[in-house]
Amino acid sequence: MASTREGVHCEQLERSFDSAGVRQQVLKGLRFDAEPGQLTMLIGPSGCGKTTLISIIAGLLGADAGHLRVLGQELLSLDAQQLLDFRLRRIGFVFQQYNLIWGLSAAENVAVPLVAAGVQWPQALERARAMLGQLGLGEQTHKLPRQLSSGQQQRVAIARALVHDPDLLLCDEPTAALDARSGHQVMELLRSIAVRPGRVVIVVSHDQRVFSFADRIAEMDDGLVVRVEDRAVAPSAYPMESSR
Amino acid sequence: MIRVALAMLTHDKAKYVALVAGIAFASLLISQQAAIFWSALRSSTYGVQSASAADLWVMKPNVEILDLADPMKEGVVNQVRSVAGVQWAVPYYQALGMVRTRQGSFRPVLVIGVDDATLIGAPAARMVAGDVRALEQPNAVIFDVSGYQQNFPDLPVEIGQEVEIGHTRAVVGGFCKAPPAWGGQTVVYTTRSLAVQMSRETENTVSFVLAKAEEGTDPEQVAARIEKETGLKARSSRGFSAEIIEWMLRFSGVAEFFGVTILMGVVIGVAIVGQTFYLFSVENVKQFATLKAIGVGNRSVLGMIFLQASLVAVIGFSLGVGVASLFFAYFGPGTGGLRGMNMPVAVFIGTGVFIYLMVVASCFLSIRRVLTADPAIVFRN
Repeated sequence: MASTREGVHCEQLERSFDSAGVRQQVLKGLRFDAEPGQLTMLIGPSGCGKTTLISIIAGLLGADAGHLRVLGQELLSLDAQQLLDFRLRRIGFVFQQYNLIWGLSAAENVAVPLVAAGVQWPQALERARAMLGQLGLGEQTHKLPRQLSSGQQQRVAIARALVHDPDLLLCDEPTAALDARSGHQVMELLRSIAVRPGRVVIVVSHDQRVFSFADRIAEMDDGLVVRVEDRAVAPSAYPMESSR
Repeated sequence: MIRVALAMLTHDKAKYVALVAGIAFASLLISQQAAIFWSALRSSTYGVQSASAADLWVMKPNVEILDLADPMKEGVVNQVRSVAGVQWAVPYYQALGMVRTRQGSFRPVLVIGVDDATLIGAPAARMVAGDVRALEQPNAVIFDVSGYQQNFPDLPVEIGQEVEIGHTRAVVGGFCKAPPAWGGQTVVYTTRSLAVQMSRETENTVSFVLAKAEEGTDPEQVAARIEKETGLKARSSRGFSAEIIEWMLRFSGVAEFFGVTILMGVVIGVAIVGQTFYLFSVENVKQFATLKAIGVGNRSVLGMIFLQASLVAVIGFSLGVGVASLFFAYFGPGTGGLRGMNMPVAVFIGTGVFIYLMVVASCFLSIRRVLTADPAIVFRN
């Protein structure tokens, strides 16, 4: 694998879908960059192509045309098995609905990516508990998802996304299902724990309350990135920080 | 990923129990009906099973099953004995009779008359009280104990009881466990001479000739030789049993009757198991998609689904067949209409294979949904 310092770079990315017999172009020659060590926020109205873009960056969807370089790897040239391996070892996912396995405890959920990568359960659980401890859930490791609050469930999902120390973290609307305080706490955790040198963090969000956590905001509309704003805001200046 | 698969399967206890219960119910329904069907068919060969010493059955050419015997004259026994390859041959007689109860009413019995001299055809190995040699005593009969208890509840199960069969006085010399007769009549064994007397037959006193092929001789070949030399119909025991069962399937209506019931069991089973397991897997599509997004390969996902399917199939099948076996263990030795019925190994294995295939088929339907699920659905609500 090439250097992780290269971040995510898309150029002329195109993707269309058939919808009720009509070919609909969702990405229209899009250009997008996300750098390591930064939290890049992808914003825009519903249907503008945000989900399609992160699905392609994650290797879950192909593109019709264009170039995509993720962590130094030409992602569109990888076969299915290589993509699977790439996701397993180098990408972490945080989903809007957490997507935890309901029958597994918090620690077991967090351990899943490690076990899938071949780590034995005892070692995987040990690392999972340590990760949950970092996220303030050290006392909740044995609990099932239904025994946790929404905010705690999302923190478990973040722990699962980070436990294998990925170079790319993709977060899809991580605060959409949370109240303001929980959402704020989740974004704080992402900033303080997920963002580190060499790791690319991309957060898709509609939630204007969390825009201020971004180092860079890329605004999409109608299949294109129409505006990029570099913010480089210090964590101490985030709204709500002073209200706590 | 075994732990993950099991957690996904069992986390919703109500659905898990419903899944296992559905498979258990289907297994119970199919195995019980198939076992009753099998036992009923098997009972049509009761005489062949009972006279296990003989490996050849000789009869008139028009005879197809035990219950529709067309008695022959006694001379046929010597005709059969004279055929090369026949070690011995004895007469066998059977007829329906009536036993008068103490209240004066009648109960039908199937009287089987075995050779007076050798007692071949008597249930020597199945005696539960007394000895088969009791038939050497005048007017002695041996009753099938289950049928006796069912039809004559006012008579004690005691040797020495006197009964009247076809206006002939008989003395109970013993009790045996006989394979139940097709018509459900109580089976009574006695000597051929007494059986003939009970039925008041005077000329045609041999229903079948039972014979034994000489050591090292193929019974099928000997049967062919008997047919050629005597003009009678001869079958090996195995061949005769197969023909009887085939006749029952074709002409008795049992195939249609049980076929519909078993088919209903299969249809209900497929509906319950298929639908429940399919819905279970479909409900888990998003969780599987999440695993695929994380990097779990299709092979692992397939393994997880098959593990889930196999586990519920094995547990459900064990429960269902277990209940069916208990049913036969409880009712089989009894005196009711289910007496003599049991769960054959073939039905046990067949039901197991069928249930597993059914679960795997449902599994395949859902697997298709899971494997073709776009992992990008994890980014949708």
